[in-house]
Amino acid sequence: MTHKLETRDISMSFGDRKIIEGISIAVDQGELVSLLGVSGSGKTTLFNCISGIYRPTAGQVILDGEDITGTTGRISYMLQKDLLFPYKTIVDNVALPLIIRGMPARRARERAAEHFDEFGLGGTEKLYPKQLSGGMRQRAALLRTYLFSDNVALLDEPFSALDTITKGKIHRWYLDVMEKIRLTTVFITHDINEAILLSDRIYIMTGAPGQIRTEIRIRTPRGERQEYDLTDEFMEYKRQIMHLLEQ
Amino acid sequence: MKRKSENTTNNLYPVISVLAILAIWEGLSLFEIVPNFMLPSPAETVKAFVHDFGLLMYHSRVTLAETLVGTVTGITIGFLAACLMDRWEPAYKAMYPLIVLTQTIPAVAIAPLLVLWFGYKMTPKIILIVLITFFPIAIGMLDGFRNVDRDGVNLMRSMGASRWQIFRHLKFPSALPNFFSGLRITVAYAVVGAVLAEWLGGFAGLGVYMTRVKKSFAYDKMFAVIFLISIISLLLIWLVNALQKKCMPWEREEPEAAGGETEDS
Repeated sequence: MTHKLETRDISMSFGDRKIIEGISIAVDQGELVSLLGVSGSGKTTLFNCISGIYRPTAGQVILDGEDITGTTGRISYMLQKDLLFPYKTIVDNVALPLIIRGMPARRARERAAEHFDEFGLGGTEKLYPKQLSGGMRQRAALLRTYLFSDNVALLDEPFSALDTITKGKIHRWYLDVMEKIRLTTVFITHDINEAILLSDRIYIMTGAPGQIRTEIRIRTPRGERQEYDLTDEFMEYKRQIMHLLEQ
Repeated sequence: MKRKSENTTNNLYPVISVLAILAIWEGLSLFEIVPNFMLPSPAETVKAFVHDFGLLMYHSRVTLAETLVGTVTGITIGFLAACLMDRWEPAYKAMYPLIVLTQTIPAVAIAPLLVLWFGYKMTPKIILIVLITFFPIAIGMLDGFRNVDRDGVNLMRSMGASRWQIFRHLKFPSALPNFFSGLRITVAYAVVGAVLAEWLGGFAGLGVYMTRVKKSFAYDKMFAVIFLISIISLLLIWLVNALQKKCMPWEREEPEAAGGETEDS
């Protein structure tokens, strides 16, 4: 069967410096997959290759069976910072990918506004990013990512800038909204708890150059993870991952 | 409420200092500590202003027209130069040092040359203002373009944005604050530049009026026109501020005024 998104043996070097080597991952329709690894293992570089910002030195990116290596505009990408432009209102920020694709501004705004309630952003349309809290800004950035493409989304440490309490809340929200919109996502994190809590599968990335060390599938389905982080199963995964990362 | 009264107090300080200076000045001429023909009193200055009001307005119109045409032309050229230097690296390398070099030549030094070359009409004044305006706009906007957030560019590229779209949605709005701070400096200098060029030769304008009243030793009128030039500069700066507020509405908003933490929805 064909996967939704696949990378085949992707390597990337800058000059003599090899950042990632032979990365092959596969993501199926509707899956939430995370890339877990320490800083400097080349996770962001891999994302830049998948999104087409970089052309990898070797390997291919396959989307729905089609080779899209080095092509931008096919996979949505949410970078580490929320990157909402301070001079655009939230609705204009969110509608940006539609406008870039050539949709007239008014229609783009209307289409974007339709999703505000679903993402818990109702009433913020006319505000500017600095008027929103960190958690709300992250939601807006995620909605923008979703509007860009409901295909596959790459999220680069989407929640790392938030404080612990906000993070807990937004994790629950994230699982809820993903249940509704069924977006296939790959997200980068260096937070082990976050990875276990939010994903169907985890790729562990280690080393320099970065390589995929192993893959872990989380048994409990996403829908049944209330207070999951307090269970023995969760602890068992955590111990296993910590062990892998320390080697 | 508290903030408002604080504001009023803050505004009070400059008003008091200006009034104090005016009082001292009035005293100096009233008690003839400085001879009256050399330093006219504020009251006499006002009188001269009212008396020559029509004439002053006529000359102001000319100076303002020069300032406007010069500034708009300067902005246009500066903006285009900034775009060119941003788009094309060789242009940046070739032009940047030249542009900086032109700024080391004082306006006072080139103004007489411009008058000699281009005559007594509006042309030399406009050219001088263009030279004054060009630099802060070009350099300010170029810095804005070049210091744009790399991640923002990457995000837009990942969306498949064209160069033009990146410029329109990211680079241009990011450079707007630089543009306005450049413009604020520029408009005040532009008026001075126009007056300076008129001084050196012309048929109309506040600079011409100045040379005429100077020759007739009409110090009261001299003071009147000096104040008028200050007022015009202040008005122009105020206009730029108003324009900035209009063009950059996001600057006005208070952070986290609304929305707040509604994470539990």
